[in-house]
Amino acid sequence: MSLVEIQNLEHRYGNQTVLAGLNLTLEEGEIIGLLGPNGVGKTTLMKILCGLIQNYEGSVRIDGQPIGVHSKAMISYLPERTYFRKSENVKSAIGMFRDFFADFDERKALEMALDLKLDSKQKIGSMSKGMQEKLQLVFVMSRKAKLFVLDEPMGGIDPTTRDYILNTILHQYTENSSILLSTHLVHDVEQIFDRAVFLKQGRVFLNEQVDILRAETGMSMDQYFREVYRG
Amino acid sequence: MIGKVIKHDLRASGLLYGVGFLISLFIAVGTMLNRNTFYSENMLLRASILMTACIVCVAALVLLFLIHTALRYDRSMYGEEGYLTFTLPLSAPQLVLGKFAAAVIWALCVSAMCGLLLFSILYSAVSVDAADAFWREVTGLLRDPEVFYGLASTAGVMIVSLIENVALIFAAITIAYLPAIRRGNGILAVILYFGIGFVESKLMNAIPGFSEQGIEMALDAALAEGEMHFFGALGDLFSATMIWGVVFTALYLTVTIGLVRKFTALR
Repeated sequence: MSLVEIQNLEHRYGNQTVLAGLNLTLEEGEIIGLLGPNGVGKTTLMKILCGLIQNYEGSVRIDGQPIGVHSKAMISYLPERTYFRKSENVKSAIGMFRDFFADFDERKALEMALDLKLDSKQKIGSMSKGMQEKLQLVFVMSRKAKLFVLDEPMGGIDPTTRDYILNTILHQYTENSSILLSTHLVHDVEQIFDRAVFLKQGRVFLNEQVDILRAETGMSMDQYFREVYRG
Repeated sequence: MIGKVIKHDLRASGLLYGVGFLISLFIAVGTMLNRNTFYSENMLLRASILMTACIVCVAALVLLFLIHTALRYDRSMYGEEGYLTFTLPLSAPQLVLGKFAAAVIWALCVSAMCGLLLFSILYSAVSVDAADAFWREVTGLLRDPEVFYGLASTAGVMIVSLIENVALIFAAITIAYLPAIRRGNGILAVILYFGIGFVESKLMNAIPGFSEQGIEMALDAALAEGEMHFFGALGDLFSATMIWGVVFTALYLTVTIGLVRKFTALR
């Protein structure tokens, strides 16, 4: 049984078709890059996997189960936007994650917050956008989830923090979990990918192991990305 | 899990309501204590200001509660907080009912505070010398089962009405954020809130016992029964209204849960 099984997934925003019969299977123990230009459906696909969009056609199964309470307990999601209440502080946010997610590692969250120099008593609303994004990443990566879904985790992050995030992502990698990561910064991130999934016109254009892709094309992922989506 | 939703929702609103209740408590106690001061023009002036403040507090608390409930639900479900809310391992019933229960707890607190404010207006008119006689009269009245029933039903119908409004707010906002509606969700939610409320009142008016004429006839009949039996008749009328309120609360919640389960699409 695959970790993620998607069959004939379709979703529309009004009259615009975003996902048009997408088929995809993801296995455990991989770091997968979800690649494509803006508007190709990466975020929509991730939202469907995480239960934020429910009006779709087709079949989506996580660990053999449809999207629901079971899949949400297994998925750790980092959206493009910050989702904490502005009046919340780090400590109360930790309390919330501890209450709702059985796999949340509080000690790890506090350690990572310390590494990133985040003040546990500071109100989240008073933090800069970059700090809020770092904090969100800390919470997401402090879970022992089966599937990490990270939507543009590198956006708006300085290069030093970017390296820290990449190392953190690599440390999360286990045989029993997978990381699905979307990014435009292919050049900075491609060295950690096991597999690349390219989306085009609402479907999976290519789903291949990165080593094989590099060997066959003779290009880096960044170069291949530019080639695929040129013009 | 519902308990955890309630806990976090209560905490999210705790500071706002805490401040509101403290101010109201200060005004209520001040109003009651004012009657202990020396009878003078200043005392009467203070009394009128404090009583006005009590009435303003009641209106403000109810408005604060309704507006805050709407904003809290809107932000936590369909604002940026929704990206966390909908990824929590909760079923639609757990999520909606948990939030509803938290709002009901605040509704009860607001009702209690409003009751205290209204009582303080009444009590501030009782002179210090007449306090014992006042309490004897009040406890005597409350010992009468019909009077107690009438007053309890009056309080009950107001509380149920507040709670029903919470369910209506949830339903209106949830409908306004259906995937097919891409703009103007906030304004649509307001329109739906008043629109659905209007339809409900028309439905109620269509039922003989609940129509304006029906209520007027029931009250006239109650008054004809005499002073004590009036409360019993009032209690019967309000008990029926409460049942209506509970039924519609359940209906609104059912619709909300169904829509959240099937048609969520955060953009």
